[in-house]
Amino acid sequence: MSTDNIIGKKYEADYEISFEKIKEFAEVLGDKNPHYIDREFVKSIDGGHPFAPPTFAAIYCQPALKNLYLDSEFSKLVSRLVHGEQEYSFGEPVRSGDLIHTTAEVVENFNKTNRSGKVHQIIEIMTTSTNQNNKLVCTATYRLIIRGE
Amino acid sequence: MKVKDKSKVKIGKYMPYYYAGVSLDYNLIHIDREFAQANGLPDIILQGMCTMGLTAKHIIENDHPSKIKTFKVRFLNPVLPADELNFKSHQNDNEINVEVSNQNGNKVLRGQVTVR
Repeated sequence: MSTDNIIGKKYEADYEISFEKIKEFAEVLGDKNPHYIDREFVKSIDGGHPFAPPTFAAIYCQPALKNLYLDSEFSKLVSRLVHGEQEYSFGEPVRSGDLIHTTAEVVENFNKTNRSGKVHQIIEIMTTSTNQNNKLVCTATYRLIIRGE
Repeated sequence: MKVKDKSKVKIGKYMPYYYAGVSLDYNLIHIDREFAQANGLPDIILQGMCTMGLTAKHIIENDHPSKIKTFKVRFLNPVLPADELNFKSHQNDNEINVEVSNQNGNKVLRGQVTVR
């Protein structure tokens, strides 16, 4: 395949966490957890800003991933891409007002034959996200399947 | 953290569009039926990250999100608009196994969560 040289490709981007975006995200998921949507409730716990849900990581990692997807070699694959596996490990909590810096890197790229004999391409992307205090907030592994033509 | 055993979510007809809007995941398999079908799918499919987000909601409910230490999932089958998802979890101390199936009993997601 013409995408053998994508391993090691690395992109980064910043994302500023806003309360409005957290609320929109929670609303789409029908999530009424007050840690996300109730500013006064969170203030009463520790005086800080509302928290982001764990899978909000998909939002703050998106700009770095987008830069990767826009890469000429990667963009050819996106139409056949499905999400196979996803893994997160969380550090410091992410809260509204935080500035998150994410690095996304392609770490695996190989072919795999499935039970019906079709060859799929597997790509693994690792992201590392830190906050404005340079504390690790999240590492993630995206396992993507590029379905065989 | 004590997780409940079961919950249910009905996926709205427009859910892939709403999730596309909030996540900027506009991959055409989520929003264009013709494109999805031309690529061998039965219909537009829900973003895997949306199903994972709903699974996180099932686990955390109104608890503190920082209690989640790790969360990993495998997407087993596509989730379609109007599917009804059944979430089942089993907790063993700080480890939770979770499984999500649709109205036909097909498993769509399997995952593990560790809590602090």
